[in-house]
Amino acid sequence: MELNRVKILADKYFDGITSRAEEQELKEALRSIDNLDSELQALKTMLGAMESLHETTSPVEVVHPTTPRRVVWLGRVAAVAIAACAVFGIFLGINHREQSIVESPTIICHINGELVSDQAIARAEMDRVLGGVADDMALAMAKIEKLKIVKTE
Amino acid sequence: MKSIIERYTELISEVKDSVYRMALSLVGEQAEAEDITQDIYERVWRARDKVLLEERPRAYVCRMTRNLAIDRLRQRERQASTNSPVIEREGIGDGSDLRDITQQTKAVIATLPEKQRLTIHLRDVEGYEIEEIAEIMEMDATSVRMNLSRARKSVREQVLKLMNYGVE
Repeated sequence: MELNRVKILADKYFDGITSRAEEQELKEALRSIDNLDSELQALKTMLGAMESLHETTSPVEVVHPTTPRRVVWLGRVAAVAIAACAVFGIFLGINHREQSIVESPTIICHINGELVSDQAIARAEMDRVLGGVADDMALAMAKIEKLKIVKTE
Repeated sequence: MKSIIERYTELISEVKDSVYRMALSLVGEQAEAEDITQDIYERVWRARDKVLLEERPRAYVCRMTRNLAIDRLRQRERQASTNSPVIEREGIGDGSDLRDITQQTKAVIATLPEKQRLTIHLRDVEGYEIEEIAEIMEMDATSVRMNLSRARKSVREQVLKLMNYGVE
């Protein structure tokens, strides 16, 4: 390409009125010409810097559109909320069960195979049984004393 | 007939690097540019019914990016003015870690005023048409060409200084 044409394109470039095709033509011409004057060398340097800037690529991965970052964040909040509800539910369940146990009729004992929940009846039966045991104990102790006497003799 | 997910994925795949570069060009910090890019993916998905019906969906996404990046930039500037010292962009004044003329030219571009920086980025880095840039930047084509011309001339001036005198 003639140097005159390059200079015309360069002037248009600096006036901001070149088309994309003309800019491409200018780039190629500057690459092919040796011994450029300082102004054209400056332009060649500028275009080189622009190309170098264009080589930068984005390090950011494209997030799948159905799971954008805020949705993921909301999902995490929801998971924590569900977990909190579950723990609270379990706590309520246990509490309710304990309450049910306290409120249910208390079985005190069995007497002759029958369930007894009346404390007075249970106590009377206990006194009777312990009384029997006490009588038996006194009888047993008397027998032991008698055996001791026999042994001493 | 493509599903909405396929169309969304296709659009994002097409613009993702452009969105990231544009955010980086505006906010100047990699971590924040990544965050903006991630936010844009989500915003496009939420507004998919509108975005996918746009005549130029690519330009529409870039406009969303520009607006979001500018919001973040303003927010950061407000915080910086009240809380801590202002973080300055890497400029040509500090050339200690600038390896070569290309790196120095990138630094020159990064110090341009916001509108010029975005215009030159969209045209010369991303290759958008003037009409698309006008749509993204919400200005008319004449203003775009004017900003582009100023940006290119300003960069040329700085590059010439660098070539002739090195970094001062």
